[in-house]
Amino acid sequence: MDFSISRVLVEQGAEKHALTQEIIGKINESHSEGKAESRDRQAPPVMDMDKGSLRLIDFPGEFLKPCPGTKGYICCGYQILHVGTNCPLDCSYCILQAYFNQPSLRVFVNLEEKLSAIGGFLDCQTEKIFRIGTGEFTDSLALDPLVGWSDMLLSFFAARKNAVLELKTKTDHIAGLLSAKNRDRIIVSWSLNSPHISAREEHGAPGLRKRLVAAKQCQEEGYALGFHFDPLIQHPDWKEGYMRTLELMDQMVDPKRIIWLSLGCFRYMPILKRIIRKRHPDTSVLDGEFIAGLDGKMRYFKPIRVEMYGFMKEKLEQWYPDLGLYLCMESDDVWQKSLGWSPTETAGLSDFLDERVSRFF
Amino acid sequence: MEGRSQYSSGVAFLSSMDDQKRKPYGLIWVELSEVDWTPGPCCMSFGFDLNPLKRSIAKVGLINPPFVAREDKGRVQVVAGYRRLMAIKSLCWNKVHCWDVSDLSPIERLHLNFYDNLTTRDFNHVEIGMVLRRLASHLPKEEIVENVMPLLGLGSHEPTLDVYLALDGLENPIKSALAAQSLSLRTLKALLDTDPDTRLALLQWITNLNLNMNQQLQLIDYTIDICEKEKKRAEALFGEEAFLFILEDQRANRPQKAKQLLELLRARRYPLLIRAEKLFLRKVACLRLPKGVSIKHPPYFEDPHYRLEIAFRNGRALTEKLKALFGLEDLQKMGDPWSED
Repeated sequence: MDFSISRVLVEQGAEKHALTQEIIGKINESHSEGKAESRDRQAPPVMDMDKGSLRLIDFPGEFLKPCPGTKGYICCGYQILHVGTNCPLDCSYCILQAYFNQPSLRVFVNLEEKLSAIGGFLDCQTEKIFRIGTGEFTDSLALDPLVGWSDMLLSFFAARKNAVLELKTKTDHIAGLLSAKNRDRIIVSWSLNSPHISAREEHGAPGLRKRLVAAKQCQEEGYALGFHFDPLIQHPDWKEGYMRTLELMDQMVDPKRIIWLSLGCFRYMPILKRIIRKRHPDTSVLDGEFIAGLDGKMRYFKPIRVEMYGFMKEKLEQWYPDLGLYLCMESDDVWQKSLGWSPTETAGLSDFLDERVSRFF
Repeated sequence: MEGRSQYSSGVAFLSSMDDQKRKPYGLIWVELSEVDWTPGPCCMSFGFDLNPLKRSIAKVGLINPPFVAREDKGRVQVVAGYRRLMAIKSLCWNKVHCWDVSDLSPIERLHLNFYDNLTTRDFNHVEIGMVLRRLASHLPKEEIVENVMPLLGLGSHEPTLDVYLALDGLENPIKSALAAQSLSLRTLKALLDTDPDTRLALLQWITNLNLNMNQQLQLIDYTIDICEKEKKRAEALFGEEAFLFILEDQRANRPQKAKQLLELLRARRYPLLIRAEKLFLRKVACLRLPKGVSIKHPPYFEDPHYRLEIAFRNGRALTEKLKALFGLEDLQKMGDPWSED
């Protein structure tokens, strides 16, 4: 395990959970600095995400929440299982940097206790399909060797016929998955990019080949796979770059067992621009022509997005025509112009993805 | 920490001193040649106009003596009344009566000057920065945020404090522009993210063209983006012929030059968008719309809907314009300008 965690902060109430002791035991108790204040008012150094610290938290909020989506664009109707926030990787474009006032890696150690309530919620709506993921506010597997999320969640989801769990990652931390008994209704998905972006902007993340080797292993072990080209980023020779990634995918995975593949051009809250420039002075992710979108986020000027999606669609469908290709947070007209069809609204995209779930599981 | 409890309890230091027990300050003669004129640890004056004070002193003399402290080497440190002493110096006086506060500790001297100024005048942004920075070397940050910032008319907001604390290290032309309100604090915040050469290059445009706050922010945003993307220094960018032409153009006034500058930068930053806007305008112009009818594109073409506006006096005029619109064959070709590019 390569975590570089220099200290563990156990917030008030977290000490009573078994997971806290397990994590501390794994890291090495000598690194623990005892209890932290539940509200840390000490500001970190300028925009430091304090990724060397792990905060174990008895999270009082909702664990399962619908993805808020974004105004004016079609969303996928996803549910977020909120297991923690922040991530040991340091991608220059990461939205989580905007929350630098809540630094450190944060793990909610009371997840296991909350699972029965979540199960009750899912079980009383059997007619509905819940697509649930843990990878919105953290990487789903980056801390898995330490926290054991896969151990906790895989059997929980395997037992439910109306839900699937998607574990989104950029890592190759799949040992927990490979040793798990239950693999049903689990989607392991990788965030991919061009080699250029992966090498220059995804700091601390394994390279594309390592990610795809991990995907290959998971697929061989019976897991359904997902892929997310999100964010797609314009850069010199981006077409060739993304083609190289597709070629690598072709070498590594069987496209027939890919449940879905999303595309999303880079977008960011305006506040993030200054943070990215400060934290990653050598980045090129802000170089494109970004305009203010309907939701206030900065997005590539529409014809750029249409071109990127159109290119990816063409190449991906040449590889395999039934990849469950969809766009993340895009408008109806961009769908039409780039993919040649549109789910029209969020409900339509939800239906499309639910149908993929029904077909795969 | 001296002063902490006084701020925390909401009672200012000087008023909390027991005036009855305090040793009265003594008036002393100070030779102006003894005064340390560099802005000392208590100084909170920047960007001021001495002339009104000089006129007043020349007319009625010095009404309120400054406060000074004698230092070990015989130099005189100005505690309060820096401007008065500067005025007196420029009036060529040799010596002046001052209150001697040598017995006060550094934080007591600082408080004395702070409250003396607070009740008699407004601070400009640079001076607020001086006050906060000087107090920050004696008081914890939280105390400054919670208790001092409100006294200066500021919200208790740590990032704002950080901006003011960063002022001290800025170049004098930047500080002067800020004190003179040619630069807003928001603009300054954006400038803090740039290096000194870039800041000064941007300041030249801001002051030369008298840019308003929105224009200042646009200028900074475009410039940083272009320089980052093109791996170019701001001085090199602004040294290009197109920019020099704007500066040297004798026919344009300052607002026109400001517009030209921002348009030039925008076109460089958003080439596809600008091209789309031009194509759109050309297409609309070719339609030969009836008088009082216009078609507009959504901001940045992001929303898929275009907008048709018809100005009319009455139903008959509207009917005529609609008929004319229906008769326009090219209207059906309207669409995203880049699609037919």
